[in-house]
Amino acid sequence: MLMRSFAGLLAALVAAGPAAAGATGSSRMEGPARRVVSLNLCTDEMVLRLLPPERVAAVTWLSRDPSRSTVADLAAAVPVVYGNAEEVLGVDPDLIVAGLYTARSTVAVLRRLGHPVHDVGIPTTEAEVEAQIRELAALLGVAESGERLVAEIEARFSALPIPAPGPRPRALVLDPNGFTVGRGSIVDAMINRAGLDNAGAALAVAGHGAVPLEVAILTGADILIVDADRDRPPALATALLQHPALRRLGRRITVAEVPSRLWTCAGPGLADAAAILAAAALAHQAATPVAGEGRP
Amino acid sequence: MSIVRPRPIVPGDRRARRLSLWLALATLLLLIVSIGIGYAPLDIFKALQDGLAGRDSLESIVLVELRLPRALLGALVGFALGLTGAAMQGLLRNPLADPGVLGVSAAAAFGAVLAFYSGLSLLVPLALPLGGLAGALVATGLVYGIAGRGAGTMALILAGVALSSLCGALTALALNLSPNPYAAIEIIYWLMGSLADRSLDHVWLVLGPIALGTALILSTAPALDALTLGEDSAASLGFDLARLRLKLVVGAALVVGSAVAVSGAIGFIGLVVPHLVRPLTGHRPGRLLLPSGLAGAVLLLGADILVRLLPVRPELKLGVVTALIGAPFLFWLIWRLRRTG
Amino acid sequence: MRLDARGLSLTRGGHRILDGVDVALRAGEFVAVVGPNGAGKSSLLRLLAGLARPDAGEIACDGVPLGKLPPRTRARSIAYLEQRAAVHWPMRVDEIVALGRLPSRGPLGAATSADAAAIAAAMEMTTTTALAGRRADTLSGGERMRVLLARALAVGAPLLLADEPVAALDPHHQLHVMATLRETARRGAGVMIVLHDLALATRFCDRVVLLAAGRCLADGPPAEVLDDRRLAEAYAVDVLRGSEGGEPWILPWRRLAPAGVVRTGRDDQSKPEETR
Repeated sequence: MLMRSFAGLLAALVAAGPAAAGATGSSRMEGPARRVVSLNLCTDEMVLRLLPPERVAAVTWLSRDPSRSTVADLAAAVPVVYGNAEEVLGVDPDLIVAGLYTARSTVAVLRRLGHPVHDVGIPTTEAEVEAQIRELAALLGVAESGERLVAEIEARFSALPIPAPGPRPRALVLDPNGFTVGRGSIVDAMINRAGLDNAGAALAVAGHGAVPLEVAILTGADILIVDADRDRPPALATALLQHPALRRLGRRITVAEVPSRLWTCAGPGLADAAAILAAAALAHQAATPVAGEGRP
Repeated sequence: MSIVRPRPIVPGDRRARRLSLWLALATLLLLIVSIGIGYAPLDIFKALQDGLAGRDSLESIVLVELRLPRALLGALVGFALGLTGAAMQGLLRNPLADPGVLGVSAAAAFGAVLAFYSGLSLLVPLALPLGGLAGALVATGLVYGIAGRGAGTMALILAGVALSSLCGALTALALNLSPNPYAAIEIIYWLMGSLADRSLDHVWLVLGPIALGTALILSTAPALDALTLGEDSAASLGFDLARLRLKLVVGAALVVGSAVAVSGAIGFIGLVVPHLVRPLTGHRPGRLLLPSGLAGAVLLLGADILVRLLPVRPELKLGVVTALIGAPFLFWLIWRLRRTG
Repeated sequence: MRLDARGLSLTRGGHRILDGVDVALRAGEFVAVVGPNGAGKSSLLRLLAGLARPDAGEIACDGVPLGKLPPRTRARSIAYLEQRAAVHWPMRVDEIVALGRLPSRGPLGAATSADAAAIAAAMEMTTTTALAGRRADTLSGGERMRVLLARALAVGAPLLLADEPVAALDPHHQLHVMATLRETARRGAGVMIVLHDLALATRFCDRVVLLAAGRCLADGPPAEVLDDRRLAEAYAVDVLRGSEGGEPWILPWRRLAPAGVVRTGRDDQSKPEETR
């Protein structure tokens, strides 16, 4: 549907698309790139975590915003671009890393001009996250940095609390604009990793999809996962999360606040998001002895 | 037509009252349908019981916090647009006038955008509708300031056009400068109009201004009737035209400002509804006001029910639906105007 | 009830439209205001109806300054019929006539039997009763004018000011409307109309006010006011005269050389002069 794919594209401006992505960039370089430009918020994070600042020619301006990016401090040390091909040419990169679904016209221009471009998709599982990091690290010639990053992520995941026995609480993501998350997404994977059942999957949503507020409420989830970025620039999208109906709902069910920057991109933030959810799951199970009385 | 015999007592008033009654009943019926229709099956009786007992069940939350405000706002906004459309057409004696003709809609939209993206929304929960209302009221002052108290109709229209353009430009500027890169897309969507996921807070916010504005507008009914004969004749019948314009401009600002503030700009209702109802009221502009408002409520409630029944998700914007219905009607109207010369 | 105006002056856009005009309208009188285009006739009528304020001079209604009268009281006292009056919505004829009763009703007042009687009488006088159920947009120009006159009569005001009420009418209805207005005056109302037809003015009116260039050239019985000298001065025309059954008539016949003619320079409503 046109509306949905449009909304999906919006989400992809910050994140990207499904996992089918791979390295499609034509490479004409000899040896690892020395001046790398990243054109996507998520590739920004990986490039900044993997490379020393002197090898990063530029990242997107969005990465300097601490409400959107987990690496705003690292981004502050390197130049930024706003996504115009001209700017990118100006910093004379020898490798461009881009999201598979973002800045496509810019990428097309750069490709036509013979610049090597490496496209990165969005992973939907932990394994894909790790594979993606390793692949990019190898391309950049920093395989050992890649391993270190993967090890850090694994360590954080293994530190998650063990889910309590018994039925899994049901959780529903309510993102800005009333979007929720179904199967086949990293968010879904993190919800399951934290010992929760994704109620969004039952709403026949694949990937991201909008659900009307009343559907979200009547789903009867035990935990509502909302975006918690309070210091973002104001957006109509988040106004929905201030709806009185949700305030009233919050009195009877657990609300977990997960800043969306944690699980937008492949990185250690994913484990932090899972940790918040796991804590919410434990809190819910502690509050509800056996036969969830909160259910109508 | 066989009615050529003299009729000492004009029956039009009684017919119009009956029409209003029917339209009010239809509004009530559609309110109930609107509450009953949604995206998820809802046990209305359980929701009612829980709601009345003050229990926070999921059903009662959905009924009270989502379905009820949506239905009420549909009726209020539709009424506001139908009423003001009729009033503006009566005042300007122009069938193509709409509620936004004096710049009120554009100003309300600008006020809402400004209040929201300036970050005021982080401090005040209902910044957006409040900003819309404030924008509309400031616009009134400006229109009056530009046109002057003794201004004629033409000066009022020109002031409205100027204000609309200015507010449109300022809205674009505010979006351009917004720290949120998706602001433009969001606000374009918002401006298309929707009643989705509004709350009772919105209802309480606009109830007062809409009631006050409605009272102001309805009080001009005899003057609008007299204006059928022209401005001099109306004045000779004891109506103060400057006061009439002031009442209508302020009334429109309150009523349309409220409507735009909570639902975005929903076009065509205010333009089309008066035309649909006018023949049923004997083409009398004052008598048209109330039925036109009620018919607006019926039409908007119907459109809002339709967007939830159509298998398009996310739901179509209300402004899109009303425009799709209204635009062909407008073409027909222009065609007819051309024929009658 | 009577209307007395003294020293009325009005300037618009640098043009002196009225310049010290004294005029009065008394109960039972039928007065015609005549004069060339741009003489200030319509402006004078609007001032007298209280629709505009003079720059200088005063108007009193039964001794009360017109500006001091509450608008509704004024509306019940002075009925006014616009020049080239239009009906902007295709309302029913009887409803249009009923608009004349608005000043007599409260804000929510329903029509009373007095209203119905006034409406019926006004329609009777103007022979528009048969048009009652017609829509305004189906009327001919003459029918519309009579309906609007009925609307003005329905006010039931003791004073009636009508701006060119016979302009759009055929001869039959011109005579009819003039007779109606004279009858209205005979029943006690003061009636003042703007008129271009000197023959009708001579024949039907008790008094004629001759305006030219914003000044009142003469005010009195038609036969006295409309003498050859004044008509030459005001209009630059020569007239034929006669009488039929004791009633005098007057017919403009020839243009005179414009030398010495009072012109106002505000002659935008006049048609281009014919050349022979």
